Amino acid sequence: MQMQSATQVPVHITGLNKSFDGQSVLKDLNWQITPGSIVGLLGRNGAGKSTLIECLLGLRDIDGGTTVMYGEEAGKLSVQTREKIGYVPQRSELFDWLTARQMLSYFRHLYPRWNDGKVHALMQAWELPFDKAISKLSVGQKQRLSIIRALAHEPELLILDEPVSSLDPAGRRAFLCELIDNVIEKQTTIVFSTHILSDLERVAMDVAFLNQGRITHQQALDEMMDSTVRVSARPEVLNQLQPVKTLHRPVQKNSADKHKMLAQFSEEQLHQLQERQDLRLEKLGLEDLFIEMTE
Amino acid sequence: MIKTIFDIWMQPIFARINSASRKSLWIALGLVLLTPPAIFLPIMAIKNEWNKLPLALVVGLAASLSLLLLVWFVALVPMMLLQHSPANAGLAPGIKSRMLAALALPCVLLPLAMAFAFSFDNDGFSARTWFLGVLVLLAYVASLRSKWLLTLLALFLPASPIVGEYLKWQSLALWNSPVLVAMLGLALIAAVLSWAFGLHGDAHFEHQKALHKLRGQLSGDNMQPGQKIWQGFNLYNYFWRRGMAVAEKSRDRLAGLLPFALGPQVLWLNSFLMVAVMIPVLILYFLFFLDQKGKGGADDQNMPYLVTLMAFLMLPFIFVSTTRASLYQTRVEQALLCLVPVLPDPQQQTRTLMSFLLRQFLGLWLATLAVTVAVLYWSPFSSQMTGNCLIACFCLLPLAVMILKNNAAMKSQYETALLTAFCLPLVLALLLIGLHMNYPQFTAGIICGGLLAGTILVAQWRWQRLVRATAVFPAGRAV
Repeated sequence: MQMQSATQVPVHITGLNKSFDGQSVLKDLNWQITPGSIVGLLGRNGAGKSTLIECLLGLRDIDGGTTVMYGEEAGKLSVQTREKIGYVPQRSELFDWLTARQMLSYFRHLYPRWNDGKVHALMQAWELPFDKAISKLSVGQKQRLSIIRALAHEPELLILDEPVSSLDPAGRRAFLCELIDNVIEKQTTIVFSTHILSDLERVAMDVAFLNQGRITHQQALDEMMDSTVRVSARPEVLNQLQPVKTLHRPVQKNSADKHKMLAQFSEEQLHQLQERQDLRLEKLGLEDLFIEMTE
Repeated sequence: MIKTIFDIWMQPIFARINSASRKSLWIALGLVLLTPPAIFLPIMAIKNEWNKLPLALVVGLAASLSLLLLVWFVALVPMMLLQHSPANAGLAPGIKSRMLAALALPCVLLPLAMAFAFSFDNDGFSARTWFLGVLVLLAYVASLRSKWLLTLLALFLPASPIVGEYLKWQSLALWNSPVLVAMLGLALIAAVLSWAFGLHGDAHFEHQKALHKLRGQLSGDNMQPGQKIWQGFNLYNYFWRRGMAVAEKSRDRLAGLLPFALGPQVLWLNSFLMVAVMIPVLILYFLFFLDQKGKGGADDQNMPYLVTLMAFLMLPFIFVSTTRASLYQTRVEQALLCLVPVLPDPQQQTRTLMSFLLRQFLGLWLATLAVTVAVLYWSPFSSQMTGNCLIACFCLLPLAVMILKNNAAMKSQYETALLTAFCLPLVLALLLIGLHMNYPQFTAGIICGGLLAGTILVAQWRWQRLVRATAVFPAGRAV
C-alpha cells in the first residue's frame, strides 16, 4: 500500500546536495510535490532554480540525497515514467535546423500518447508557422514551440523552467489559459519557476521559496497570502508573540529601533493583533513577500 | 522505430533545405553524377579503352556516392549529439536507442559500400578495407565526444608502424578471417557509439556546452578563439588599437574602422599564424618517428612536406567558410555602422568592406602560395608531383570570387558556403590535375596562368556588379 502511494508521488526529494566547483548551490534540500498540485518555484537569480529542476529530473549528478519521481530514482526512470513527464527547459532545446513540422514529427514517434489535434490547435491558436526553419523563429515563438512540444504528449507532470520569460503579455495569457483550460482539468501536476509573479498569482496553487540552497517555505498561495503579515514592533514585543510560523526575522543591530518580523498567524491571532497598539501589522503583496522571503 | 531512424537520417538534408535552398542539394547530386564521366571519359578517350568505361563509371559513381554519403555522415553525427541533450537523453523515451541504431547502420553500411567500390580495382572484397572504413567513421564520432582523441589519433598514426612491429599485430590470424574482422568491427561500433552517447549528469551538460561552443565557432557565433593558448596569436586587438590611433589623428580615415565590425575571424594573419605555429611541432614529431623507424622509405620522407602542404592548403577553404559565417553573425554591428553619420555612404562602405575582405583572402592565398613554393623547393617530390601541388594551390584562387558575393541576399548563418568552398577547388583540382597528367602539353604553368586569368576576369565582373548594388551590408538585409 505504501509502495503504491510512493509511485503516485510525482517528486520526492530528500537531503539533496549539489555544488559546482566547491560552491554549494543546493544544501540538504527536502521537497515533495503532491499529485495534481500546481507549484510555483520562486527564488532570486542564481538561487539554483534551474539546477534544482535539473537535479529533480535526474539530468544532473547530485552530491548527496535522493530524488525520486513516481517511486523511481531520477536518472534511472523507466520508459513508462518518462512518458508521464513534460519538460520545458530554460534554454530552448529545439532542433533549430529543422522546421516545426519536422521537429514535432520526430518527437511524435517517441511518445505513444502524442496528441496531434492538440498540436495543430495550439500551433494555429499561437500563430506559429509549421514550415519555417526553427532558427528563423523569434525567441518568443521558439518558447511557444517548446511549450507545445512539452504539452503534446499530455504529460501527468509538467515541469517548466521560466516558461514565459520571453513571451509578450498576450502570449503569457494564452499560455496560462492553456494551462488552466486543458491541463488543470486533467489533474496534471505542474511545477514552474518564474519571476513574473502576476502569472503565478493567476495559476499557482502552491508556492515554494528557494533560498540559500533550501526550500525555505512551501504553502498554498491563498493561505499564505491570508495568514502572512509583517509585524513591526520593539524587540521585546516581537519576542512575546507566538506566530504559527516565523518566516523571516532580519537581525537588526540597533535594539532601540522597531524590529520587523515576517510571520504567519491564525485568523484568531490576527484579530487579536489588530487590536494592539504596541505593534504595526502589514499585509504584503506577493512581490513584497518574494523580496522578504528571499532576502 | 524505422520511421524515427528515417527522420534522423533525413535531418542533414532537411537542415540544408531549411537553411538555404534545394539548389545546393541538386548541385551536390549533379556533381556526384557528372564527376565520374568528367574524369573517365577523357582518360578512356586518350587510352582508347572504351570497353573499360562502363566498369569505370560504375566504380566512379560508387566512389562519388560514397563521398557524398560521407559528407552526409559528417553532418549527421554532430546533429545527433546536439539532440542527445541531457533533457532529451533523460526524458524522451527511446531516443537513445533510436539514435544509436541510426548511427550504427551507416557505420556498417558506408564502409561496406566503399569496400565494394575498392574491390573492383583490387583482388575482390576485403574485410580489412571495411574495417579500416569503420575505424575512420568511429574515430570521427569519438572525436566529438572527446576533442583530444583526434589529436591523439593524429599523433598515434605515424607511430602505429612502430607499435605494430613491436606487438606483431599484423601477423595475427584475426586479419585473415573476414568473419573475425567483421565481428571485431561490429563490436567496436557498439562500444564506441555507446561511449559517445554514454554521458550523464554534469559531464553531459559540460559536453553539450562544448558542442554548442564548437558549433558557434564553426558558424561564426563565437568571434574569439576558444582556446586561451591561441589568444596570443589573435592580432585583431593589435590592429584595432592601431586603427583607433589612426582614426583619432585623422577623421578622413574613419572608414578604416569599418572592417573591425566583421570580427577577428576575417583577419587572414590570425589563421595563418595558428597553422604556422603548429607546423614546426608536427614536423619535429614526424621527423622523430621517421628517425625511430629507421627505414626512411620515400613515402615516409615525403610525409612532413605533405602534412605541411595539406595544413596550409586547407586554410583558404576554412577562411572563406568562416568569413561568410562571420559576415552573417556581425550583421547587427554592420547595421549600426550603416547608421553612423560620420561614416561614408552605403556604396562606399561596400567598397571599403569588400576590398578589405578581398585583400584578406588574397593575403592568405599569397602566403599559402609562398609556403607551397618553399616546401616544393626543398621537398624531394618529383616534377610531376610538384606541378600537381602547384595546380592544387592555384585551384584555391577562384575562392576569391566567393568573397565577392552580395551579402545582402544571405539567408541564414548556416549558409556558410562550406559545401561550395570545399567542392569548387576540389573539382577544379581533380579535373586540372587529370588534364595535366594526361596531356603533358598542358604544363602546370599554363594551367596556373589560366586559373589566374580566369579568376581575375570573374572577380572583376563580380566587383562591378557589387559596387553597382544599392547596399551589400548589413548581411541579410534583402532577404
